[in-house]
Amino acid sequence: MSKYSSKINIEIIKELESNSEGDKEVFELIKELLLQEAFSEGRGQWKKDYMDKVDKYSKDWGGHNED
Amino acid sequence: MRIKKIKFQNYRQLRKTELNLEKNTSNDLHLIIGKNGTGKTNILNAVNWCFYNDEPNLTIKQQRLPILNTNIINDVKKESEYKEVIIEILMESDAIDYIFKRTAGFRVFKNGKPINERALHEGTRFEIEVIDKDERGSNIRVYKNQDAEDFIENLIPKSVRDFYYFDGERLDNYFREATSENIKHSIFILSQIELLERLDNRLSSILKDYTREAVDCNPAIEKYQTEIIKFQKELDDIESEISECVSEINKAKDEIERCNNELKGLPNTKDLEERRKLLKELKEHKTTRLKEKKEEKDSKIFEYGIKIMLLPAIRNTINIILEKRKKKEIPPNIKNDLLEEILEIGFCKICGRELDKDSRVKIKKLIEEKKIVSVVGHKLEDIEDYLNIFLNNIVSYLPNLKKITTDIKEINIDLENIDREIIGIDKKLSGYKIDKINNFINTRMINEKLLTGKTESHGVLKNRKTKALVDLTGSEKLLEKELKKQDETLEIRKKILFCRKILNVLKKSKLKMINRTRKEIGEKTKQIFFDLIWKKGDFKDVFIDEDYMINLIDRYGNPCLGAISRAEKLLLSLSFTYALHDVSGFSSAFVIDTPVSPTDDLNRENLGNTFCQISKEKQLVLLFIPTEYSNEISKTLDPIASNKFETRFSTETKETTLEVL
Repeated sequence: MSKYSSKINIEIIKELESNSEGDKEVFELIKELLLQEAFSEGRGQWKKDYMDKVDKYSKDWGGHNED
Repeated sequence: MRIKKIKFQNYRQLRKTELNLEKNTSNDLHLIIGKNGTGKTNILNAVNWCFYNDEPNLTIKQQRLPILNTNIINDVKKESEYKEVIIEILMESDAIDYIFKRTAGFRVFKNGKPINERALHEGTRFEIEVIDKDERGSNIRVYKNQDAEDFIENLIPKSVRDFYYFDGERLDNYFREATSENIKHSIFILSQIELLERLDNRLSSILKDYTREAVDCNPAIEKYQTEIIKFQKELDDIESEISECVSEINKAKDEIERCNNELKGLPNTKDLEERRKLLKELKEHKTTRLKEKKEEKDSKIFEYGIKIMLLPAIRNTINIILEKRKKKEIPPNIKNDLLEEILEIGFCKICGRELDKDSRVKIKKLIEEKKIVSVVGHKLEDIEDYLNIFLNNIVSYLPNLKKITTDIKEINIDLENIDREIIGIDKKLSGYKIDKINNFINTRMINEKLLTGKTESHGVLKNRKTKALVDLTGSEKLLEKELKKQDETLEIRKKILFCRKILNVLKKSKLKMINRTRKEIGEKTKQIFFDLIWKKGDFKDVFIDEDYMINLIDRYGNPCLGAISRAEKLLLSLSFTYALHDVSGFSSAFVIDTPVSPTDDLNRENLGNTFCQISKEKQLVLLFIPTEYSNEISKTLDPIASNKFETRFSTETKETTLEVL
């Protein structure tokens, strides 16, 4: 399946959701990055884009307080 | 996704023609029949050239010719005329249509150079039109050159093209070439697991950046970071070693199975040859022993022959001596010296008793008697011992001779048995290519040793991996502790932990997806194979093991992949590929060149039925040579095929045309 294809392997999304164990920010970020990788060129400024997204999603994330 | 049409322009012997693959019946089956050399396989080459800019199935002769049609080169009217090769492929799916178009430009010269030097390549263009079909109409996107190359690589990756376009003549090697690495790679790509890998790599890189940032704020954590990098590198190295080890284990297993299959039903020539060598040595040894025994017997017969002849005379003489002794004509057989010594020392040297008076008298009397015996008497006394020795020798001769004769007989029996066994071995070995068989036996032995060694190494590596993981986790925890100490690093710490959590989810998901997909493909392959196989009871199971090896198990529970017929192999490879498409959600046509070539009539009929079943759900393009397309297969496929073409090559125009049959 490709970045240009009309669908993404839904099983991967399901698996990611299950393994995120209810951690909304983690799942949402992975999903966004996955769709981006699947449907866009994914070249060029990927690092800045990834970091921006990590900044955005980690702000509301509370997982760092867990021991 | 199916191929709707292929347009050829100036491509090799396909000067200007079209292959229309519309689905006209309930079976998406398309037959192309053509003699060797008529350009049938070049249809497959044209598809590959259009998609990937290479032609994997060219003959050596074709490799020397330019891709531009030779008639075009010969027909140019003016010097340096521009000509193009174009292949256009139209593909369709439910939601999207695709038009792939590759064009190669050539400047053609009229001078007298060889034909392959007269067409100067001026570059290639590649273009893809993607037509999204929805209720509101069509939305067209166009990708050109590098974008188009990226597009096709994502849509139908070149590395997995062997799972779409089969060369039937290479099928015997399909499962050897479709190594575990190859299968794993295909599963990764087609099931999008590689997307997870890409995410993993990119996030790992970002995690490193965050950690470096944290080091800048608090140099104390550098120590832990260095450790983490060290342990991570160690872990990566171990992973790579494990992967290499597994690959070698699989190769060894594959080789052992191949050798076992090659050797099935054949004599163990190596053992037999070793036995034969041993028997030859034994025969040589026994023959020497036989010779020795015979010589011993001859020598004994020669030696004792004279003694045996003298036996009556010896016995007679001994009797005379005994008679004369009785009559006291010769003394008792006791030596004078001994008697005189006994008298002197005063006790008997024979019984150890002390001599009394009577004894002394008796001994003196005996000495006197011996003195008065005649000369003849003395002579007889002298020869008596020799005669007795001779007699004893002759008495023991016969049992000795008998033993030697028995030994000779036994050696002869042994030699007969050895000869019989050697003849038996020769009979077993005759008609076989011993060197070839020995080669398989040696290869198997080498690989068995290799397998044992590598399996041990695999265990060691697994232990090292566990230890490296413990070390890594420990350092990560210490780093985290340090990060907590300083306010400035708290925000970075949060990002680091966030990235780590994501990476953890990705790793877990990847592992589960891989295992699930592998299992599903195995189960689906089994289901398709058992649905389509004609000899239902011959097989028990099909599965893909943890090392991505395809296993076929016969009804007795033994692996039998290397021993099945070519038709069964084709069916299994189709089942596997079909399953790969089905489970990954990626669907494409099957194109098979020379699909049934060396199979017998019965299997052709069976394969015909298989193609019929598959083409109900999937586009199937089969390229036959006329001898392949026998009655057995045509009676099944002709009534259901959507299209049937014949490739015809004209020797006059040197062009191939596609005639609809």
